[in-house]
Amino acid sequence: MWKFIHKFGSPPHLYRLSLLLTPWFGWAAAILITAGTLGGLYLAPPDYQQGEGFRIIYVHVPSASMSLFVYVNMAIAAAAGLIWRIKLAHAVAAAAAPIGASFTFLALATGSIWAKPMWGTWWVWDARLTSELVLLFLYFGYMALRAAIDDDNRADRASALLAIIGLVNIPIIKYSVEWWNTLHQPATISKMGKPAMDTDMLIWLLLNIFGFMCFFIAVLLIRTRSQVLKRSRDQKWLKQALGVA
Amino acid sequence: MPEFLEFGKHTAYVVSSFVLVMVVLAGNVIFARRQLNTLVNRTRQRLAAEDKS
Repeated sequence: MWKFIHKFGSPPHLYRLSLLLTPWFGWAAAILITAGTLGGLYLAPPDYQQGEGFRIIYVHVPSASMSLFVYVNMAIAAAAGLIWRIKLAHAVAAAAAPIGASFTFLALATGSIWAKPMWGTWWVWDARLTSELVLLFLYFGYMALRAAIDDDNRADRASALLAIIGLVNIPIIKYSVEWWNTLHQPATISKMGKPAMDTDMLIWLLLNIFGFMCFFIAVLLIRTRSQVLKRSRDQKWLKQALGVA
Repeated sequence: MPEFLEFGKHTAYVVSSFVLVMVVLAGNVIFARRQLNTLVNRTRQRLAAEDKS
């Protein structure tokens, strides 16, 4: 277990692994998102209440679930960096933040576009929407904090603490629709119990969720490679990796 | 508007959501790759300069 964790702390190993895995996840994301989007737009039947407007779910739910997933991963990586002093764990956390912020922005924007025809308003200060907005600010705060501190080690530690503290917001987002009386509908897919959607509709949503996950991993691998290059000073492996004679 | 982009009275909302998502996803890939390429070139130059000195 320790050997496995420390292997990921090696820049050459992570760089090579990233080079190898990026195309696989990239192509998987492209195929899954194309299939999920086309299926969601043209093959899924319209909702009996929301009509064609419900199709926004095929981009809104994957974005929203990824906004939480990325944050949890970012905080775990930051905690690993803090506890085991693995610098590359901080690099992974730093690489994940802009991707997570993009997903959170998309969840809020597509949710707002969906809310207009369904609720008659672009925005309400509902518990789910507000806590998701707090998540976006946490991502911005994390990135701003890193950018504000010149010393890499101090930036890693301070931003890791912020990421870990921000984890408190994740269960609030997840359970806000159960804890409070919100305008936002309850979870569409739950690990326990039957999903609130018909299989003809659900299949395309699942494809997009897995597609977004593969997309996240592919972009994370590219961004992690940038972080590795930024932090590495060892000439020998850098020369080999970049093909410098 | 082409027929394949019509979604009843919700066309504008559905199409704008999907377009926005695809633009942001594409932007993510473009920015990540551009940043990586810049760093690769900068690191190559640094290594070459260190070799000379």
